[in-house]
Amino acid sequence: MAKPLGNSARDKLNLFLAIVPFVLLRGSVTVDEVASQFATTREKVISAVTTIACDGGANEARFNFETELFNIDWEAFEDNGVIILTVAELLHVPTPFNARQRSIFLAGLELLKAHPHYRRLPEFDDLITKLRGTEKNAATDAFAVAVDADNPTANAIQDAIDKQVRISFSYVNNKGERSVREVDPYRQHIQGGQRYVKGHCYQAGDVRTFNLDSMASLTVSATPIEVRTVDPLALTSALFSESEDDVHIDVIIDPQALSLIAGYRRPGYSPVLTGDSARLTIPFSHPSTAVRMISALSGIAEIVQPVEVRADVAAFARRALDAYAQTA
Amino acid sequence: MTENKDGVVSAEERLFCLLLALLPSERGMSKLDIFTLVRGYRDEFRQTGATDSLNKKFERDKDELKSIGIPLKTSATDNPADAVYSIAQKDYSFSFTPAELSLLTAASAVWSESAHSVDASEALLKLAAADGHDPAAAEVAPRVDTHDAAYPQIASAVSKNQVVRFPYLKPGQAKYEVRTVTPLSVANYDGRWHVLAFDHDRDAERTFLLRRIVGKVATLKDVTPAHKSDPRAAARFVSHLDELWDSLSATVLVTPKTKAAIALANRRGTTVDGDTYTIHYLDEAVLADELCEYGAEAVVLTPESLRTAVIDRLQRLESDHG
Repeated sequence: MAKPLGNSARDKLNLFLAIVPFVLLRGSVTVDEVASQFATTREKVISAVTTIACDGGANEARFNFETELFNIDWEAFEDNGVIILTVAELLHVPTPFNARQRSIFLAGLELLKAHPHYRRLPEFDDLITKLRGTEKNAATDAFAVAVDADNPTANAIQDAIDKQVRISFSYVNNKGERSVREVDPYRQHIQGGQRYVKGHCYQAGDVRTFNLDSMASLTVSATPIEVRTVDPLALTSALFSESEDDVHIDVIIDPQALSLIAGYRRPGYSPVLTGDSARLTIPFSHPSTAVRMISALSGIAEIVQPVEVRADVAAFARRALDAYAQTA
Repeated sequence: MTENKDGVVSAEERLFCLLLALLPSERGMSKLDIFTLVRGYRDEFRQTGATDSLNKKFERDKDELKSIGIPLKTSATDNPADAVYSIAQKDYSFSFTPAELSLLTAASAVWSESAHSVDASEALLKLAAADGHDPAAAEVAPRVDTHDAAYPQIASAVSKNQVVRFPYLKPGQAKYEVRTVTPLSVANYDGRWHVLAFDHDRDAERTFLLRRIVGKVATLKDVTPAHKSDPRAAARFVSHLDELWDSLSATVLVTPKTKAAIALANRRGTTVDGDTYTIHYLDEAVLADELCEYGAEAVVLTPESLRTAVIDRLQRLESDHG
């Protein structure tokens, strides 16, 4: 679950309306199971179930209704913390998604559409139709994620993943080094509009992440991937992890521009504000990545430490200016 | 009916009782029925009648139920007092297969937690209620880069059709300016979030980069939005960006076999003629920043304004690090 529920009346009502269908679906569940499912506490679950059972079972809530709305097995609940509800057909499903929620899902599906794995699922189009809703309760289509849906490299890699065969390609890393890689591909990822594939790289002898934009001459082979135990973390969407070998780069930046480097910031490294500038440490796997980052922030940020990397930036800019002079 | 008083009824219980009262009957209830019968209203109604405060409480409760997704309907009548409130059973549906629930989980995981609005969190709660929240599907789902701090407020302003004011650092400029806009759509294009908004000071639509909103986004409740929200805003916005992308191009001389050579060739719409690439873009200042990353690997030939912009940036970079 994303966020634990708060204490507002709305949060509590939402918990009531979530507990009922969940308990019905499972038949019988413990208080602890419910608390864990909804990322809340035992106390909140007990209080919610008590309210549901009292209000739902009470006469006043069903004045124009023949049967009881709710019945709870009080003995199982109070003695053993087990929730068994009998509920009339009402409220047996979660509260319908509102138009804004359907819009959020639709925008999410727009991004998934760019991922061959998801786009190839048979239920994809039906789900979109279902979420769009009827004309009178249509979801607003105000959010879009425009990633080129038909990317030939991504499609070819997905074919290789589905067939479980090896791929090879030439690759240029952030250091500018060019190499040919053979990879058993595991999964594709899209993050921040960029496409990546994660897989076992034979040249590195380990799981690596590759940016599709930095690949050329992709070949899908007929060689089956090797069966090996893969660390489950290797299959998550986390693309890069911090390592002991990281180089720590100190940057000073105009505080109003901190949002421009948000993607590079790591938890635990807070900016220190002095006067009208902020100083921040950022870990990089290689100094050349830092040089490229700072080069896109000319006039806004500069590297102060280590001094060698600072000199690298000046030299990088000088080489570029020389190249411009030659084409004048 | 009981003669006993209900005593203190919490707001969540009152909302729950109102929902329970309206659910069983398609026929619905009038406001008088509700005030007379429903726990949470009836004590106050018996004591003081239908006061303004009781009416307001009911209006708020009704809006709250609608806002969480309850299909609460009000019948149209000439006299508001005759209105009948009901919940349409056919609209109270939540019907998804396990495969669809798993896909919905992935679709919601696209937005990182930092971007989560109340609506998104509540949608996840509903998925969990259907036992359809699939952590494995969420784990591997693609991610939209939502480091942009302004995302939640701008997305919420789009949904609620509100006017907002924020400091904006225009690409290529060193100081921010304050802009007052009605955001109409939010689109991730070319890997960046773009906002289509009606700019109140310029009296025209403008495109903003979300990442360049560099401070607090204030909601101006007392300013009337420029437009009604447009249900097809995203489609219109994306086609506008497509047109802009197609119409703006630059020629760049690239060094073969470098990162720039591969990445720029893979960029959408690029045409390659030997070492000279024609690349497309949306904003000259943004492209100038981006091309600086490639240094000597990519040299702009045309347009002259882009070439000058890159040279200016490189000179500043060199002098700042000298």
